[in-house]
Amino acid sequence: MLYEIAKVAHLLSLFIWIGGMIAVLVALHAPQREVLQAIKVYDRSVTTPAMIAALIFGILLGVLGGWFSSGWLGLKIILVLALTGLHGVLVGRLRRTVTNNVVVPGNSLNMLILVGPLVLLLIILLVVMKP
Amino acid sequence: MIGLQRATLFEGTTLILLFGVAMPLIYVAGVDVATPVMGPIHGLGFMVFMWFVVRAWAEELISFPGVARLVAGAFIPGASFLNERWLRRIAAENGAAHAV
Repeated sequence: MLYEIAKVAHLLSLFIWIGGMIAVLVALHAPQREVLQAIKVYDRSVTTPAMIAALIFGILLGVLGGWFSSGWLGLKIILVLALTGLHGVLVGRLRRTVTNNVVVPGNSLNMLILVGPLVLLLIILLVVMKP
Repeated sequence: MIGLQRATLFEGTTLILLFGVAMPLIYVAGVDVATPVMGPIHGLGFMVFMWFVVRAWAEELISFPGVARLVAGAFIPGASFLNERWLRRIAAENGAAHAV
């Protein structure tokens, strides 16, 4: 039962985390000072705690399910680290834009739009197939 | 910079507890009680630390050599404490009053 609860909490926090990342990405594409400020506050109070919760519940799932001895989880952890880094890049750019009033051209974020879903796809494939 | 400094300290502390307490308990005393707890805690601390490092780099608070220094330090017990002092110095030099 604890495993199922942890899984629900992991998925819920993951959806909130990814949703928050998309919000930052969209806000940086069409920068408006008030919107960026609001997204920054939202990220600090909702998205980043959701990321940490997703990590905590993910680790808990690994411990409860005994998955840490499985090879696919090692690969998944590397991909999660990449996803975490992606969020770090987005928030760093957001904070730089808000603090220094430096607008980063939207085109430079196109790579992140491609990389994010690709990393997510690989993570989902690993979790579903558990090769 | 405060967040990155705290994450560096947390990561460094959990690494020392893992290497200095949990692992000797297994290999010297044959007691495997601390590793199942300290391993996941350190894993979480490392991931949050990496998030702070990437964020600080994207925010241009630290340069790429600074990132390399912090990441390398995360694998050497005790180095994180030196890195935290380095980050504190950078924050003081920049007069970084804004909390990271």
